[in-house]
Amino acid sequence: MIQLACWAVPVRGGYVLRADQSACTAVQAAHGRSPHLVNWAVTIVHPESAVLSADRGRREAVLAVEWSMRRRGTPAPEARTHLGWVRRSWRSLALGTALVVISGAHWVPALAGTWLLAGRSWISALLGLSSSCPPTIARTAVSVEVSAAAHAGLSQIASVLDSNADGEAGYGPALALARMLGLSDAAALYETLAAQRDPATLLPEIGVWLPDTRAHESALVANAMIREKPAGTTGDESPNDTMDEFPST
Amino acid sequence: MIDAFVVPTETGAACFIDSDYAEIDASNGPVQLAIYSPYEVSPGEAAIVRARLEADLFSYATGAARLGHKWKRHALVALLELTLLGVLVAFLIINPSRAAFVVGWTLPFGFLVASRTALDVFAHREVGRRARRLLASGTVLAEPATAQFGGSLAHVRDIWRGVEEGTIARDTVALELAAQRQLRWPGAVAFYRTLRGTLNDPRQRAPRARLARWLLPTAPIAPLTKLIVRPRE
Repeated sequence: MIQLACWAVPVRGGYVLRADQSACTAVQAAHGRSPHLVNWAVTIVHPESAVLSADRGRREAVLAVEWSMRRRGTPAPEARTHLGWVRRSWRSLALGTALVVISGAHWVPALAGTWLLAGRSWISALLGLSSSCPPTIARTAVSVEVSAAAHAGLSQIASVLDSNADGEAGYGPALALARMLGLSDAAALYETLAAQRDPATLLPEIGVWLPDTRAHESALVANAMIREKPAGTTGDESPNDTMDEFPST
Repeated sequence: MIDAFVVPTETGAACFIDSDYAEIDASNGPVQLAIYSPYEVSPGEAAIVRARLEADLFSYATGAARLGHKWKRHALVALLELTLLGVLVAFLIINPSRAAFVVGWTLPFGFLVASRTALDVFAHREVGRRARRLLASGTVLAEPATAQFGGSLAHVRDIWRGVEEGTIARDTVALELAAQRQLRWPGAVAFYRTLRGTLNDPRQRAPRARLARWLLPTAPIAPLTKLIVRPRE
């Protein structure tokens, strides 16, 4: 199993699930591992006060890990890029060019220069010694186990947010605390939220929104009450008040 | 067993892993993480350390798996190149000229590359074998162990006691010096040096240093330092 971590960063009204910075590296490194070892074991790291179970955050956590690979991209290994090749071989290239230039009519320095410019890399490729890495394939796991664990740092951030429940200070105090705690993933999220206040509209590469159960349930109850009001007779409004909005013809 | 240590920093505490991945052999069983900390590490913090360790470990193994692979073919290329170097040196000695003199002393820079690679591959073939074994059957145990090795426990206890009693200042340089002179703890010295280098050393950002890094590429496997920082208690 590949052990992955997913942050459940506390925000107002819920959490934003964001894969840890190591998740992309771990999944990319899986291409060399045995197939039976590449399933995922995702740990959702949350504040102690959170009402967040592994089952509830399962779908969002897997989505967050999958989207994190898009966030990080798939960097080409240096060995495969032209710049990397030039960087490693600049001495040989310079010397090979010099030998070809000064060779004149002599075949020995010309041959030596050609070897440095192209011969060695050609022979290496012929013998299968090319230093290029196999392509890194970010794969999705066949099976995923999700668990949850409380994190002391996130608990401190959650208490800071609770103490500033009216939201006047925005996410500034939480951002400052996340930076002080060294929680760079949480800090990056709060930086984004400083510009874009609504966590529900975040791009999935940044984080996946998961509403707080309590807030979510109270919102559902409120919605249900609103829907039930016109049909019910227990409301404060009298039928006549409602009729006033739709004058009879 | 891989050891992770929680040590003091200027702003609080950090966790670093001090282990030589090249020594890890999956045939000895699953990899066990042991966290040495003066206070209880929350399950979430342990999960983050474990996830980052696993990502680094297998990322390292993916890179190192190529070491020592096909060393005979590397030796063949080196032999070809050395033969060519011998012929060229003989030619330059027989046909001396100013240009031959100028070019002659730079020949080792170009014609010893394959030899160096072959020697490197040969020397690290056991490391490569272990890395391939790690990829094939290596796993990291889910639960970190209670750290028990006496010497490492004493290191962590002494550095925290020094900070709390005021004999060691909460300063990266002072902590590095204390780890070097009082505790004789090479892992912590390397960690504080990395912390100082990455955070504070302006020389690392200077154009000259950047040019040097571009011209002289570093080793393919970078040393590991991962930080999990906590505030001052």
